[in-house]
Amino acid sequence: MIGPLVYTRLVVCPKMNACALFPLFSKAAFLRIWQINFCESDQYARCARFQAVCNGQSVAATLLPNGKHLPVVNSNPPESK
Amino acid sequence: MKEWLTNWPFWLGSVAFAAIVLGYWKLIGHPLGASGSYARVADAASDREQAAREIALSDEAAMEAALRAATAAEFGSEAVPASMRGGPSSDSSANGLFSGDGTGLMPWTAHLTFLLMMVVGGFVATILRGGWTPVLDLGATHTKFFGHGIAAGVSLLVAGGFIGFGTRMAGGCSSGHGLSGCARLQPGSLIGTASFFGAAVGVSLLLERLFG
Repeated sequence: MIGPLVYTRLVVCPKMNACALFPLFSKAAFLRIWQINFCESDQYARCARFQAVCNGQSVAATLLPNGKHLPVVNSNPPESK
Repeated sequence: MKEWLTNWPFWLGSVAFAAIVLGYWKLIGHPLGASGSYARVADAASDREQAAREIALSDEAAMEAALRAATAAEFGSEAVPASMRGGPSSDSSANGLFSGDGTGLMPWTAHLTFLLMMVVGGFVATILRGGWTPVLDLGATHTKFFGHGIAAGVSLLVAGGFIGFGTRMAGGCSSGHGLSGCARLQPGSLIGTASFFGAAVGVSLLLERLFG
């Protein structure tokens, strides 16, 4: 007997394949939570990167889905002269 | 020589287009697109800010530490396994998480060079084809509708405005969607190209039927 069909709503961000951060999130286990909560969630529309793309804006590489920027600082300070 | 600069065999043109579009994508890391380059030149101020961020992102250790901190701040420290809160994570380092492809962000000056060389390339091809003569109209059909005067110029300005608006709305132009996007089988580009070329053919046929 075939069991009852289970309807699974599979919603992913339509801009996912063009996003520079999405593949990055796939490479480390601790980053996967970003994909679960934004890229592969029906809440993808709240992603700041998605919103920027939809508004025709350029998307900064450091822009996170939550709208904050990565506070990247150089860990290798220049040598003192 | 002139024949080769005027009418290429279709297969040679296809190969040349494919080589340029896919080669650009492979070498530069971004799809080729004239409107995208124009936007980057027009937005040169923010480009400098982004370029600075790109440089910062090249520091793998700092980038990974920042991502770990941001993940913990957003989802709680429990979201980041204890083994990954300290030094560089083993899985990311092993897989070259932040190694990147070396392409980075092209400066706006590179995009400006690309746009200028499109003009230079066209000019050189025209010269090699046997000289050139400035032309101020777009042919008999355009002249039939708008004449030679101010109306013709205004029509071009308005048309250019519409093209720019549509390009921005669609996220790309005929080169970005038609050449780059279709070459990479992007569904949006395939639909977009079919739409704007289909509309152009339809309008042309309609005008031909009504006023031809």
